[in-house]
Amino acid sequence: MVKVAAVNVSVDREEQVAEQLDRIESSLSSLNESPELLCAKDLLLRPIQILDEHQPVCIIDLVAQRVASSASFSSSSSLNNSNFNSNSDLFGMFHFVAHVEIVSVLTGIAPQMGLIFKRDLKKFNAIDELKKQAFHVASSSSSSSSANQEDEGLLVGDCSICLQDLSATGIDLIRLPNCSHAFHLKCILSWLKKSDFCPLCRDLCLQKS
Amino acid sequence: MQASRARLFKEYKEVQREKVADPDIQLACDDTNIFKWTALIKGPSETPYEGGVFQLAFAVPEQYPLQPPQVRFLTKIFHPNVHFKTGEICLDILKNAWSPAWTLQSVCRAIIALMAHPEPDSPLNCDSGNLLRSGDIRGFHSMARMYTRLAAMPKKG
Ligand SMILES: [Zn+2]
Ligand SMILES: [Zn+2]
Repeated sequence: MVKVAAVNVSVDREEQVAEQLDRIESSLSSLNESPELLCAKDLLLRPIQILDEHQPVCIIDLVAQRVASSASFSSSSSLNNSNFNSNSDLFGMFHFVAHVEIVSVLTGIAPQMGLIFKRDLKKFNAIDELKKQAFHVASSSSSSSSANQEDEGLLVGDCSICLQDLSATGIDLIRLPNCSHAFHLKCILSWLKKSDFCPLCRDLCLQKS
Repeated sequence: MQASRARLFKEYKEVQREKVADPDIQLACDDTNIFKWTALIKGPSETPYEGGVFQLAFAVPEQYPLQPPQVRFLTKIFHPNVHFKTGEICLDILKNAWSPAWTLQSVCRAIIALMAHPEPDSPLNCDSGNLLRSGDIRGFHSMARMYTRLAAMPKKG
């Protein structure tokens, strides 16, 4: 977990924002030495999607727009408690945590930030959950493996992401919880990094309705 | 990169099979670069593009199909959602509404559908959009028709 100590900023007044941004910027430039922190800086400047809004925004812009209140980001302890695998590259989640924490320390985080974070955390967990439900078509000789017979029966056709056969044996498959559309696990995971929607029906992939 | 190649190769084989099935679309891959494709599409009937054959150029990104292909008209076309100079196309599925379930072939179909159903409210060609929005359907038709004749129809004789 990356922590930036001793930069405790609260954005209380409009006119302070520019000054705060200057401070954030100089703090950021001092982050350049560490590759991990550099990545966090990168994320700070990278546009992310907030909830249901259409336009992606940069965290840094959120700060600039004075959406930040002086409320502090209280979840940092719970962040540490969640089971993040540093080898998990999904959404650069690990770095995202680092980044949220940096922003939170720098700005005295916004409620919105908490929302963004919760949303991504939710997605992260949902994907973990999805991975657990992966199954594969067993080879014909040993049909009594982990694969669910019912699922097998329905697997006709191609994965619409790679256009390869879904019923090839031994490849991990997944059925999306809401719409039941099936894909290769590997294929849908790479798509979910970019989108929340099922490639076939544009239903929300992960949220259980 | 590997995934996009495999997928494009699969599409290539599919296209060979579909050629007969969809006479309105002729997709072809560059001989030396599987990321470059061109398509010839027929202007839909009962539109000012009827009888024209329009060439599209596809530049497929390495992240395909997670990212949409870049498509533009090489043939000049007068259409509200196509940039008159660059041939750039304003179509949601080529931008935020992209899904990897689209193929180059189905993108062609979507473009044909766009030719038949222009969306004058998101114009890349303002002249054309304005004509339609102001209700000057005849004006729009005659302009679109003229460019179809000029640019998209084989010269006779
Ligand atoms: Zn697949
Ligand atoms: Zn679906």
